[in-house]
Amino acid sequence: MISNPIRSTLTGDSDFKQILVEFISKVPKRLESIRKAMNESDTKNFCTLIHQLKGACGSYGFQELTPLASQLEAELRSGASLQSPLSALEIFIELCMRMTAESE
Amino acid sequence: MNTEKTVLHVDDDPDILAIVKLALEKKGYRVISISDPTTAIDILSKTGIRVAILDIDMPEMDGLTLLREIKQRDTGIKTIMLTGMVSMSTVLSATSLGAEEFLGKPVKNLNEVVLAVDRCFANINSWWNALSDWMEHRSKSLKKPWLKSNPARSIVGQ
Repeated sequence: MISNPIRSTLTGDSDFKQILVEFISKVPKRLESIRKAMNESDTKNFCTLIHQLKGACGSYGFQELTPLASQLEAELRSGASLQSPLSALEIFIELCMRMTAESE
Repeated sequence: MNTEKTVLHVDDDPDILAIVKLALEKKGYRVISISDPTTAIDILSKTGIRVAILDIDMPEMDGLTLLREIKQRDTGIKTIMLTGMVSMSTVLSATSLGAEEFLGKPVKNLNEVVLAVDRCFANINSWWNALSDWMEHRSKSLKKPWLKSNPARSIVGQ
């Protein structure tokens, strides 16, 4: 498994360092809410949470994560069951956990 | 409140509010960030802020409804719409309601937001300058000295 850290495009600007650290620290809680929505088969909430996290990740310079989140969201909005994108969700979570505010 | 260079940003995601605020403050803007659309209407009507950034996908009141409410009260407020669900119908709706700028979410480059805000303020300043010039011209042509203080310029603090 590739486990290289995923860096924000904003890491080159020191003014953004603290805000990136704060954002990344809150990601596990957001992922927990996404898992909870999945376990409760709450498709609407799941889509909303994925959509919000996708928007936040992209805006914080982690555009690498947005295509997979878009795919997850699109599948569910088109009527797929919550169980079908399970592997894609696990990959997305794994990618999220690799986000770092540190520069190379 | 000095509303010159002050921007109101409405979004239900605190992380988006925080990063946009930082990006704009770095460029010298003052930003009021809120997540409640109803409060946004109240703030705009009480403070005289001229530029607002509105998220479209909000649970309590969607951004298009908020845009309609704002423009009904004051068509001069410049609005920048942010959305992750870009569709032609959404763009057309926002445009027909009077939105000045339209940006997709995620914001791939925060400078896009800064530039959109810059354009809104440039538009406002251009309007005020034209009004000031017109009033100055009117004042001279009417030879009314009491108009020469140029109220438009004093309003915008120039």
